[in-house]
Amino acid sequence: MLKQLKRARDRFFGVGEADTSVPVLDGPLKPNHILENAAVFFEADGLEDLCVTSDGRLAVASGTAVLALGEAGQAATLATLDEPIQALAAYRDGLVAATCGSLHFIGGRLDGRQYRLSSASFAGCINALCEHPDGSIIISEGSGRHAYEQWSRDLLSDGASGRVLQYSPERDQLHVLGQGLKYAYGALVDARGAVFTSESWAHRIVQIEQGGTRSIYQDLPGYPARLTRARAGGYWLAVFAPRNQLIEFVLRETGFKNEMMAQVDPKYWIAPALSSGRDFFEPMQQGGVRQMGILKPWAPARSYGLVVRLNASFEPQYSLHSRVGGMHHGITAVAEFNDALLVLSKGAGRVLRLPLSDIQ
Amino acid sequence: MMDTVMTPILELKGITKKYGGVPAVEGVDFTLQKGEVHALCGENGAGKSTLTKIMAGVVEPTDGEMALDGKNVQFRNPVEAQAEGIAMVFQETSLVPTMTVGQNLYLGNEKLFNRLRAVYIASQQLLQSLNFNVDPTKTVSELGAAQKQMVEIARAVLHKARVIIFDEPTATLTPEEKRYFFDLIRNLKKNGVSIIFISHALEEALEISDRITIMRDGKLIISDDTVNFNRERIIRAMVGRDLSNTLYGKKETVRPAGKRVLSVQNLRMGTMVRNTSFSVFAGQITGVFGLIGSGRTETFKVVAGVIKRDYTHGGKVIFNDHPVRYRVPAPAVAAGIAYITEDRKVDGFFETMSISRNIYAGVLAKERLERLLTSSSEEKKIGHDWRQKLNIRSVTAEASVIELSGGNQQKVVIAKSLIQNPRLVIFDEPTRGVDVGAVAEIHEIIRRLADEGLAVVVISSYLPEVMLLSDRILVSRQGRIVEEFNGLEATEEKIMYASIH
Repeated sequence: MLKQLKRARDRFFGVGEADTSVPVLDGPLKPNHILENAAVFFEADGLEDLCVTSDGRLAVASGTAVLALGEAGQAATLATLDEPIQALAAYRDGLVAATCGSLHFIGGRLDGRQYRLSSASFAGCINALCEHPDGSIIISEGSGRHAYEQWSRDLLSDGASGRVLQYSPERDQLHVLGQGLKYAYGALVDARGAVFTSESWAHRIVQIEQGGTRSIYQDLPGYPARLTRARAGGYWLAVFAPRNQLIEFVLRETGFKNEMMAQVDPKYWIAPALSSGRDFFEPMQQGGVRQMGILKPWAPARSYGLVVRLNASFEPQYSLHSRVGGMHHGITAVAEFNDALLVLSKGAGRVLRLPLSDIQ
Repeated sequence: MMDTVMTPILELKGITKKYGGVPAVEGVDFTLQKGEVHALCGENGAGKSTLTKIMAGVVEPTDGEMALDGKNVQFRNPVEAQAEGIAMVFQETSLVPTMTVGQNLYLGNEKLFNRLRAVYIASQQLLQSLNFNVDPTKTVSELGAAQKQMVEIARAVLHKARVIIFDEPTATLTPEEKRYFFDLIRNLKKNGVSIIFISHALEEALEISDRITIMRDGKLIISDDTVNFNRERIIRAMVGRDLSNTLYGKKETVRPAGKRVLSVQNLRMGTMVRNTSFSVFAGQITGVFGLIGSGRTETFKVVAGVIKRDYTHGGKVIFNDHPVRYRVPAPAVAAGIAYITEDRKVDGFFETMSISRNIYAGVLAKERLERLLTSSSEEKKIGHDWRQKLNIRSVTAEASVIELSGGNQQKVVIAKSLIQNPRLVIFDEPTRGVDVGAVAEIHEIIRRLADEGLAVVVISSYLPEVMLLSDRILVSRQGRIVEEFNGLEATEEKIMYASIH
């Protein structure tokens, strides 16, 4: 009763939950064109995640295959799995890849081993992996209700079933570190062993602590994805989709949302996307947004490309952008490789290469 | 140019004015020719205001003679001076705030039956002839600072003054209004009116005046034709040392952004602030530039709880990661937001109280509920500490704030806010009506705060100041922040373009 009264009041005054305002991209997040103008290093369909192995090779997950990329971008297949790969990480002397519900060890001492997570997970929405110094693997699971590719449905249905798990291959044991997260997307362990994840639908980065979470960097202007440690200290954060007021508004209109999810093709939902502008049926195409075939620079973004450099205390230092109307959107992973930053744009199906000396 | 053999319209010989034995103006010889624009420069406390007040009959000189058209005169009050055609436009406006513009213009000159309609029509004609866009039926309290200034100027013109003294006329004007104002001065000059023009903006003095007189410590230092001056020479004469590099020099580094201290999202307040969004970061100076009326002050007043945002859909203010909505300033002060007002005479201090008491009031305001008794020894100690810290100069320690010069008053206002240990300091026009020497000191205070890791916001209409201080420049136009520049990449052209287009 009280909750409903509060909701009615908020709706009338446009405050609290009913406030659809979104933080702006300013200060260290001031837009630029660095990402859009970046050199294309590798191009393939179904690119998902990338990492650098302990022996200094670059590995990319593309569809069901794990590829090793050379200095010039030439690909060699390391392994092919039965299902599409959702996350990839370096693990000891090899790699570990996650598909819907299983962990696969590739190369190294544990090559070929598999671990089924199905008993622990309902939907198999594993989206990031990371090695813990104690030899275990930190796993982030976005949703317990929706599969990985249905992430926008999880957003529109106010998903809060994400978890962060810890798996130790020695004991073959799975252990829940944190749960009830609004789409955990990213696994990161800092030098002291603290575990962090991006809570995408809450627009923040949280530290997983005993019996709860602590917000570290909040009120992001986009939906954060995977985190990586930077060699020079601090972290890289990929932001896979932007927030905008239209979507914030739709998220608060439960009836509309449910009807849209029931009747409209997911491609055309009013929801964030990894790429946009390729189909004229998409929302946000008309009126002031596009005139005479030219997308206005102030058009609300449905997809965006953003990588944020964070310092050791998770404060943004600077950022790389691909703005509205650009190609290199839907950034899901970042890695440092041979003095360059490699950025995986899932929206464009490309890996971009930016010399670190140019962007600092 | 002027024929110098001609009798000057106004001549002062050996003018001295002492306050309690301390000379504010000492042995000044000053001449003003007919149809001349004469700029009067000097640090605050140099005695410019006192000198002009003597001319306008506001204060009587202790010693010396004054001649108008060659005849000795002695004014006992401003009315006498005005009858002789000397009008003064004051720094602090002397309009009646509850009366309309038209009524103010004709105040004291009303006919027995004062027909307002005729007054408004005449006022409208006068204002339009001066190119001032002010509605004569509006009450003065509704007007902005610039518009009030315009009304004052119009009043001086209306009284058919032969000598008009402007005390800092352009401090509150936007660049566009400044152009109008200069045109007006040129027009007045063409009609044979002599103008004395006190200004801290040296470019203006160089641009508009025929002659420049510089005062320091109550004495006339130099008086010469404008063509013989440049910025450096004026500054040297004003302060007796070379300041031009510390003021408005080129900067090479900017401070990196720290933690986001303030995030404003979609803020709305009436017609002044329209869906503005921006952030302020710790450890750096965020400059906010915009023309007057672009909603800069209002935006930050909402943040500080001085005014309220719209009741419905008013937007969000997030301070230190918590959404806040202050209805009065006290909780904002307690949370660590200091807003240092642009109108220090009205909102900044208790003018009849001493410096110490004013600063102590800042402590009391912050710790409202935590203390029962005030302590006069603590007050004295605080006053002493801050006077030294900010180098506040006054004749005696117990001098009331109204007796201080603009720069020292501003320092008192700053001290009063800084003693509250703020985490976000908002300076609104920190150097308005402040002399060059004090400007450098206030800039130093602002920089020190940013170096200490505080989030500092500087709102200013003076472009060189914004560019010099800011690590990050936000440009406001029509109630919202429209552009952001890095302190290094910003140029005057870019900022001006963003604030107008």
